[in-house]
Amino acid sequence: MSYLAISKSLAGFLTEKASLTPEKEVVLTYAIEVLVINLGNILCTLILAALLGVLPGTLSCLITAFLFRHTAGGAHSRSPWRCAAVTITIFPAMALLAVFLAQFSAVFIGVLSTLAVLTGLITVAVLAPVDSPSAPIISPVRRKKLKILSLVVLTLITATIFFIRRSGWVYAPQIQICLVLSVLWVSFMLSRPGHSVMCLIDKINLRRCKAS
Amino acid sequence: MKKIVVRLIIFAATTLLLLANVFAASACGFSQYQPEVPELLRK
Repeated sequence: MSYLAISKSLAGFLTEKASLTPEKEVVLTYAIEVLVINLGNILCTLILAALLGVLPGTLSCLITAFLFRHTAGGAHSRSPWRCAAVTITIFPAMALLAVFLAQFSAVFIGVLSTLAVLTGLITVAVLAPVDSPSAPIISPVRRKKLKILSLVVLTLITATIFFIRRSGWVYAPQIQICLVLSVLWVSFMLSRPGHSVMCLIDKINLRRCKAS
Repeated sequence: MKKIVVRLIIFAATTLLLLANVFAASACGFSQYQPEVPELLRK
């Protein structure tokens, strides 16, 4: 199993000091790896969002994606660094797009929201949960549970999309569009084209790009 | 002092083992990269 050197060394230290078995060391390495990668990605994304002035929107996108990824899954990159590049770029970009789209009429935003929810419903109902070879979902019971949870998450997000507009909050239109764009992004990541895009990102040869 | 450090390390290890189970129970991690789930946690 390939993990980052920092995860391996920290897990090795904890295993030695706490007198754990080698099997537990692998589990510890996995937990540290997930924590390091996710916290690093979230921190860098929020810093970029704060610099661009779209922190509330980016935060709402991150929360939506977090809820969906845990229940519905989706496409993955094979490299933690390419994954970080995608995460750090895509969420502030969605928040910036939301700032632009928030200027349009309420009718346009309403139509966009309805289309996004319908797309989300179809993809979640048909495709979720989408697992990866690194984390296969073996049990059919677990698969069923995750599908139900994905639908519950979609219902909660849909309710938030349609009720947030009524609040007088200054960021309400922006957050509403951020949620809509996040639902569209999650639906895309569940689908085959989303997997193809992640494969394409994995295939980009940075060394060849540097040489040319 | 040494006892406290050992207890803190055991606490950290236990919390991480618990977190590993929580991570393994979800469909995938938040980010676009999924570290390989250990055989012990696959279900």
